[in-house]
This record gives sequence, C-alpha cells and structure tokens, in this order.
Amino acid sequence: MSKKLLKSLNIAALALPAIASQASTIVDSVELGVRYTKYQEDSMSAADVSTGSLDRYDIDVMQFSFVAPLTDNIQLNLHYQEEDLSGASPWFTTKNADGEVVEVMSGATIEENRKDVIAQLTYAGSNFSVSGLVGISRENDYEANSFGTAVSYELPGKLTTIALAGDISFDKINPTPYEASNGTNTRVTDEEKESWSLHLSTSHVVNKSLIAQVGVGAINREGYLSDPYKLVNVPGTGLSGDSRPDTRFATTASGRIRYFIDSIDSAIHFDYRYYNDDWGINSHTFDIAEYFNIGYGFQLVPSLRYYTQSEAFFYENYYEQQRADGYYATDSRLSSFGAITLGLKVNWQTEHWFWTAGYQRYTSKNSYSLFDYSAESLSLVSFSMFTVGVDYKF
Amino acid sequence: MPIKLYRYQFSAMGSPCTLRFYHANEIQARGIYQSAVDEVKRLEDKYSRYLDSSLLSQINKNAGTQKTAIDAETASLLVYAEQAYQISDGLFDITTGVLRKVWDFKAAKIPSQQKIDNQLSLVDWSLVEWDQKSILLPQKGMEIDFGGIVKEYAADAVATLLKRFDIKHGVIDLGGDIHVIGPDIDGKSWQIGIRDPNYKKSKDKNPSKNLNKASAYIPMSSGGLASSGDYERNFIVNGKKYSHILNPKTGWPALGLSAVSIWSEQTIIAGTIATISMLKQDQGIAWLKELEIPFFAMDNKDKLYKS
Repeated sequence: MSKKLLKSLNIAALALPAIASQASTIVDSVELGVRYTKYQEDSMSAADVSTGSLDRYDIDVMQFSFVAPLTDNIQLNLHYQEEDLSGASPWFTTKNADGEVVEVMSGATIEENRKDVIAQLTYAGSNFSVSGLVGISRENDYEANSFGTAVSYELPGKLTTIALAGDISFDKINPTPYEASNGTNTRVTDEEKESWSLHLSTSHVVNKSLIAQVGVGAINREGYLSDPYKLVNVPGTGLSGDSRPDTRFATTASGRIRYFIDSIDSAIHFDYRYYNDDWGINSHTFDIAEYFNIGYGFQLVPSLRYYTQSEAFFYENYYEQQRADGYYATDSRLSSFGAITLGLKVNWQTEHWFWTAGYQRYTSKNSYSLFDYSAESLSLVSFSMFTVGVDYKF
Repeated sequence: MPIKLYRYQFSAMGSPCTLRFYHANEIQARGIYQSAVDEVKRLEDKYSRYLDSSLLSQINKNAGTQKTAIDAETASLLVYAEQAYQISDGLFDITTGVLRKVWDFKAAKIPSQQKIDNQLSLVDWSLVEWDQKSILLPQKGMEIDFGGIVKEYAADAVATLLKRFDIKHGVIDLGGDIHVIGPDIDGKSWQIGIRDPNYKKSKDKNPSKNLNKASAYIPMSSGGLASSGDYERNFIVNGKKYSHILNPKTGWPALGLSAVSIWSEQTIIAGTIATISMLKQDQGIAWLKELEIPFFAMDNKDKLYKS
C-alpha cells in the first residue's frame, strides 16, 4: 500500500515543469555558422608534363550552417555548401621522345560549380538519440541524393556510448561531352552509381583523463566507378576511357583516444584508421592533434596527419601490355603513396561567438609510402588549404 | 578541450549552495553555472515567504479576502503538495508554517496550549480552495509555504538544466538538498556527506574539530538526497529537545527521530519523505521500511538505522 502511495507522489513530482522536461543533447539555442576555405593545389612540374596547363585546381568553398532546437527533444541541422573550382587536371600519361612517362593535362581550364544541401533531424531521449538526414548535391555533370540515419545509446552509468550509423547514396553521372576529331562524343553519358556505408562504434570514458573510441565500418560502391574525364593509353588500342571494376567493397577499423593533461590545460587527440578494399588498396591514417588552451578563450591546435596506401591491383603509371580483365587507370590516387599534412589552427571562443582560422599543408609522394610501388606517379598532388570561420550562438 | 571539474559556490534560498560538474570549456561552464543560479533565483523570487513581492506572499496576503491567480508551475506544486498530504494522512501540510509564530525558537520557550490551539485553527490544507488557475486561503491569517518542497524542487530543476547542457557528471547541493547527475568522471560514485545530527552539541565541546564533520558518507551516482532533522533549529527544555518540525495536528514539535536522509530519483521526493518520516515520530522507521526507500536515520538516542 505504502509503495503505491510513493508512486502517486512520484507521478506528481514528474509533472512538475522543471523536472518533466526531458534530458537531452538538443542545443538550447539557435546557432549560425559560416566558413570560407581556399584550397590550392601546387602546379605540376614542367618536366613531367608534355602538353597542357601546369596549373591544377583552385577551389573556393563557402559553407553555411544553421542549428536550431525545434522542441526540447528535436534538433534541426541545415548545411549548405557551394564550391567553385577552376584549373586543369591530369588527363592521361604518355611517353615522350626520350621514352620517359609524362603527363598530359586536360586542355582547357575547367570551371565547375557544386552545391550541396544537407538537412538533418535528431530526436534525443534521456539516454539515446536517433537522427535522419537527407543530402542533395548538384553539379552540371553530377548529381547525388543521399539518405542517412544514426542511432546512439548510452549504457547505464553513462560512461559508454554505442552508436550505429548508415547511409545510402544514389548518384547520376553525366560528364560534359568531349568531341573527338571525328565529331563523336567519346565520353560516357547517363551513368549511375549507388553506394552505402555502415559504421558501428563504441566510446568509453576510461578515467577522468582518457576517453577512447573504437569503430568498425563497411562501405560498398556499385555502378560507374571510373573517372569519366581521364583517359588511358592502352597498348594496341590507343587512348581509351579510364576503366575500373564496377563494384568496390571496403571495410574499416578505427580507434580514437582523447587524453587530457590537466597540468598544461591541454588535450591530445590521437586517431588511427585502417581501410581495406577489394581493389587491393590498404591504407593507414594516423592523426595527432594537441589542443592547447592558452587563456582568454584562445585555443591553439597544431596537428599532424600521416596517410599511406597500397596501390590498386590494376593501377599502372603507364601500361606496357594489355590486361586480361580490361581494367585500366593511371590515376595517381590509386597508386602506392604516402602523405603528410601539417596543420595549425587558432580558435577563439567568447560567450556567443566562436572564431576559427586554420592553415593546412598537404604533401604526397610515392616515397612516403609504407607499401611497395612500381613506378613514380607524376600527378600526386600537394596542396595548401586556408580556412576562416565564425559561429554565433543566440 | 580538456574536461575539467568546475566548482561554483553561491548563496540562495537562505543556504550555501555548491555546484560541481565536469565540462570541457571554461566559458561555457561559467554560462551554465549562471543559468543554474538564475533558475534557483527564479524559484526563490517566486516562492520565498521572506520576499513580499513573491507569488507566495501574494497568496498569503490575499488570505480570507480574494483568490490569487496562479500559473501552471504553481498549480503542479500544489498538486504535489496535495499528494504529499494524502500519503502522509495529513501530516505533510503546507499550511503548518503559521505555528512558527507561537513556537519562538530563539526565545527557547514552550508556548501555552491556548496559544497553540489558536494557531492550529489556521492549519488545515483540506480547507484551501484551489484549482489549476487560482488559490484562496479561506481564513485571514492562514498561510502556505513551500518549505520542504521548493529548495528540493530547485535542486531537481538545476539537474534538468545541467542535463540539457549535456552534463553527465555533476553534483548540485542547495543547502543539503542534493541532486547527483551521473558518477564522477572516473566512474566511481561521489561521496556525499550527511551532517552529523549532533553537530551543535559537539561544536560546543570542540568547535574546530567537528565544524564540518559529516556523520556518514553516502556513495551516490544518480538521483536526489535530502535530509531532515531536529539539528537545524531546536531548543532544549528540561532535557527534552523541541525541533522546528511541527505537527499540523497537535501543534507540537515532532519527537522520536533526530535525523533522516532519504535517497530517491528526485530530490523533491526525498525531501518530502524525510519530512514525513520525522513527523511520523516513533513510527517513522517502520514507515520508511514499508516504503522500501533507501534511507539513513538516527533516533533521539543516537541509534542508527539503515534501509
């Protein structure tokens, strides 16, 4: 009987407004953000190019974000991004008079504009959250529609969180036609690509200075996975379209550590990711960043990333013989290489404002690879990236 | 950014208050602390019986004359008080406060039965006319107060607020009304001290030694903890202790238990149950056992009881 009375008291307590509102991870006010990024690839070396512009891509990126609580439990995130790209890109490889492999760059300067919109709704309960998102991406030659969902659950004790996320994307590829000398379009039209990914992770507060996360994932891509703007010199056939397998399945494993050092008021982030796919590409990514709080709301974040991958089983810098499977690609992104990114970021936070400015320098080389490589790829990219941004929280 | 334990002290509702929680950003932590103080002050401004401008004082001033309009929050506090009245068979009565006018704890004098009886005629929650929109205390001189409810409610309200800011490890202490959000960041329980009921007695003997001494530490990783006891305000006549916890039926202080601490999901419930068990006097311990609620109690012979 008494227990029943206690229950009636509990019901009355839970009806009290300041208690009744659900605990959640929903933002408590509207947040607006804007970022500008300038991405600039280094020019090709003249010695490596037989014809075409040496200049590579320059990309200007504007990003706008809007986050708002719709109710105590529901949050809306909107993200809009617009990219303007110009420059030339490696087209195919050939041999010069001395028998050295050289790169032919795409003739005219490419001008592209891409717009992306992502809308996400999140529902948060006291120990779980569920979210769904829709993404649309438009370019004159490419469109993608994607859908994603994620759930996370906090185990009792609140020290361990388990999260599962998945997405699916439907892409249409309609490259700008290229008229060969005989007047016909040598490029593909109306190609399609479908991809999905799944990611399962768990994060755990180990102790007051250590948080660890481990995750596994799978990515599947199907359809037209070649690069419609690249050509390959195929022995006995001549210039042909870049041709890759029409399925690609990858698995990933990752670990993250956040280590807090009270004495110098800073945090070390260490991330590692392993990737393996059935094109024969294995990769390791190591990320280390240190977040120094230097007072007055300022934060300094130096970072270092090392990436290395093995080459795709069909990749060659230049094909000397035909392949039985018919796959050809000289795209340097499929070669064995390593890359180092050095970064420095400054953040400044006040009650309502968050300012950020950062610089990154990315350098990739075949010789940085931990894996074997058959020949130097001429078109491995190096770039600089500069970002400034501000968020305002109402 | 590194997660750090932030600790803030402030004074509200006539008590020292402490807020402790882990956060990664000092500026945001400060903002959250400010919101917490604002929330406690909001409830104090609305429900303090010491502030003439409070809604509670308004209700009391209008006693015997006119209805006072109330908002949804006040109405749900009245619903809660009604439930507490019901489950305690009328022992938890928010109109009891007027008895303090005859029990002068500073003077340490037992009032005459005549005086007590006169005041008792103003104590009866069942006579109060109230609904979702208004309240009327039917007789002039009647008063309600949310002592034993509102400070506890404020602790719960601050807990809700901190959770909304995604805080997962923290302790709210509003003058001994505690609400704990999650364990300490290393996964271990917080050790919450409950005050020694003999604090005053021992202080006379050796003030420095027992000043902040807790009689027990209760490990907590969630929920509310509230205590009630005769150590807060009392006086002794002929070896008998008269506490400030007054029985609305007899008009006399409750005897039997000297201290009770209750654990419950919500601090407000812990506070209500602690008060009722004090008022139940000798039956208090048996009643707590029947409720199967976690408790820690001491009777007036310094004997300890645990659930």
